[in-house]
Amino acid sequence: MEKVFGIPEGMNDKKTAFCPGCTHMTAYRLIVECLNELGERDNAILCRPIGCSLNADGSFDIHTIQSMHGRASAVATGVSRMNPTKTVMSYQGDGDAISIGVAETLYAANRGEKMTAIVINNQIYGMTGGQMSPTTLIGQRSTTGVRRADDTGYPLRFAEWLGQLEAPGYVARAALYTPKDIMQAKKFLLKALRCQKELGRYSYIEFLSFCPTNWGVQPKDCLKYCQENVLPVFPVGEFKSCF
Amino acid sequence: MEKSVLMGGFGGQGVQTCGKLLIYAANEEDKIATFYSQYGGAMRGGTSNCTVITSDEEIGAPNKKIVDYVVAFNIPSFKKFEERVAVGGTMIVNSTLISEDMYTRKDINYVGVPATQISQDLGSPKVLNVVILGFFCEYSGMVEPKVAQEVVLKQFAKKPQFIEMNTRAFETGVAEAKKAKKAKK
Amino acid sequence: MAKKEVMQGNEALAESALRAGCRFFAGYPITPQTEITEYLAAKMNDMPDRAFVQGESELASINMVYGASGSGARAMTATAGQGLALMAEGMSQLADAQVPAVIVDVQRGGPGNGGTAPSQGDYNFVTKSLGHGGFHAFVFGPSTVQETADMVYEAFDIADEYRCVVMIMTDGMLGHLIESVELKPYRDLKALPPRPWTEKGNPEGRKLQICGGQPDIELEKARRIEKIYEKWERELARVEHFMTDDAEVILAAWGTVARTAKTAIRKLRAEGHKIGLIRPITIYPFPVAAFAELDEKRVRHLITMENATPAQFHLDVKAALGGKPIPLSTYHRGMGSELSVEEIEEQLRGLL
Repeated sequence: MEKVFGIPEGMNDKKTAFCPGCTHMTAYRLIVECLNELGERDNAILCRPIGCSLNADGSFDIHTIQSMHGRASAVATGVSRMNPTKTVMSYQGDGDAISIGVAETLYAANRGEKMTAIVINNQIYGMTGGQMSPTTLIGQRSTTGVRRADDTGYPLRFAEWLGQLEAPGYVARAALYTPKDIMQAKKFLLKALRCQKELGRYSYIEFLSFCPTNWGVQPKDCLKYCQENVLPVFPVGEFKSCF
Repeated sequence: MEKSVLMGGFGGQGVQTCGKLLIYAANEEDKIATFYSQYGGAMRGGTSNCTVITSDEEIGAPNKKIVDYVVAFNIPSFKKFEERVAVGGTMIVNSTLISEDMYTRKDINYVGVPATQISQDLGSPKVLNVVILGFFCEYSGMVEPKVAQEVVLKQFAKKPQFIEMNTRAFETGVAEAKKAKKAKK
Repeated sequence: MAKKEVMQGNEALAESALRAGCRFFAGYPITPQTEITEYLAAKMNDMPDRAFVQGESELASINMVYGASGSGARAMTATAGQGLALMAEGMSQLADAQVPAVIVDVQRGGPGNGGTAPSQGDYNFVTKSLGHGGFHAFVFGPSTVQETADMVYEAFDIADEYRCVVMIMTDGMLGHLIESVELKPYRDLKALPPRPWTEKGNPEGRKLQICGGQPDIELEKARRIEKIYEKWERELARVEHFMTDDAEVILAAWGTVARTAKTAIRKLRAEGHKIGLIRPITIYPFPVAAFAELDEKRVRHLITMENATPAQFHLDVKAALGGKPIPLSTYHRGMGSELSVEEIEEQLRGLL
């Protein structure tokens, strides 16, 4: 029988500590698949943040550098400047990239660093247990309160913001919800990595992700929840493309 | 033997450059030397000063208060730094701007050079500091005037149109110092 | 032709770092270190295989240095005052991940915004712990432009050898002082010591994993690092004894205060007073023996002087003295300006 689906080269079946229904591993899988397709996996360096993404430890085979909370884009800047032939990526959460590290993310983009920033947007702080993040929706509950516009402001649409800048070559948002969404996410990620590799430009890609545990939503209900609540605030699509 | 000079003037009079040229010259003579300038904002129009020390052994304090020579490019620095000349030391003044009746101490020597006038006669107020440098080197012997002159000319290696003017400025300063030394005797 | 070049402390430091093989610099302007950043900005991006980045903050700059060094390049940053405080997080990460870096602190007044005048007020911060969690950097305290240039040149080797942060602690006075300096030659970037832990396909055949904080190896790592600190303290502390052989009154000072004091000591010596100076050259590892071995029968007073409030260096001297019955006092003041040779002389005269 022909094998049509399996674990991609560079990943293993090691159990991770992610919660049921989490889509972090989908993002990792897409990264490994895209790097494999571009023949770049051994030539790639991933600047990892602090947060849930660490639960993927040991499950993928890419060079990594651990970064402090929010600083992955600055770390990636240093890596990229000293390794211009490598595919350099940062992997960050929404709190990491858009709250505590917003300056680092924004300025790496504005300088047009030769790197790809991959931002997992699940509208909540995951690892610390469900606090309000810069993308938490209006009315959404968190352990540090319910977001209200008059008090905690609005969810930040960072991809739209970066799309306005001159330097970035590719800026997009995709969802890791349905198989169809994931196919699109992979297409966008391939473009982002090619923009960096082939054109030497900065790419930013945001992945809308599930966090059933901290949202208090059953995994089976996440899709409906997101379609009704998340997608209207964070539309998927390309905000800037050099292709 | 340690020798020290404090130079002061308006920002824009070339005080810092004058001190730097002096330490470059000292270095050419393989002397040990320091140049220290209290930083802050010595922008054009503000006050500016620097201390240069030369020695044949390690220099400790590069910013000592009491110095062998003070060179006052303008009145405010004269007033501010007159007290910092060591007993028996020398105050060199830009006599175009500072008149003898302003001198207040009996225990130091005063010597004047009409540097502003000379630089204007030469056609450029910009060479004021070079006149003073030539004068100071000849008068104090802190560095060989010849060596200092070479250093000045090296600064203009890429701008040959300024060489003649600066040469004349430096040499006039030296000649003035020779006159002043003779008068002292 | 003169044997030496005339350079400002900050510029000599920057040039010497390039010669030592510094391939990456990221920094943010702050008085009184700005000349370092400006010097490297003017030079580095035109040099092959090197890069300069003006970071959007000190936070970003130190993390860029971490990324550059972690992926193979000798890297440096320079800062002062609050900039150093902002770098604390990144320096802590460098220590955790054992990524080498050279960091320059051109000290200015503090706390807070403080002033831009010279200071030695970062002493405790830098020597005791540069960030959260506890760790040591190797810390040099130069007192001349020549020493500054030599130390930064050596700093990159020490950083690579021990995979640690090496700090050069100057101040606004030394940073802006101009002196003659003999610079060491440019090192061939291709002949720098290898960094197997940053290279792809490293000896264990593992992928590059620059990180710290893995509990299963933390204890083993802590023991290994403890051994490094012990070795530094045992073998690498440096100190200068200036006219101390027969001295009855000894001044302990570091950096620019120590060099300034030499003028006062020479003057008092010329008057026949038996007075000398102990100057720690590395301030961590601290030269404990220089104080522990003082002869209490000969030395009748030890005074520390520093440009800091509260006294900080003084506490290290006190600890090093280990209860030896030598009267110990301190003269210190922070904020305002450098300690003048006149006030140092006055303080010393009070002890004669």
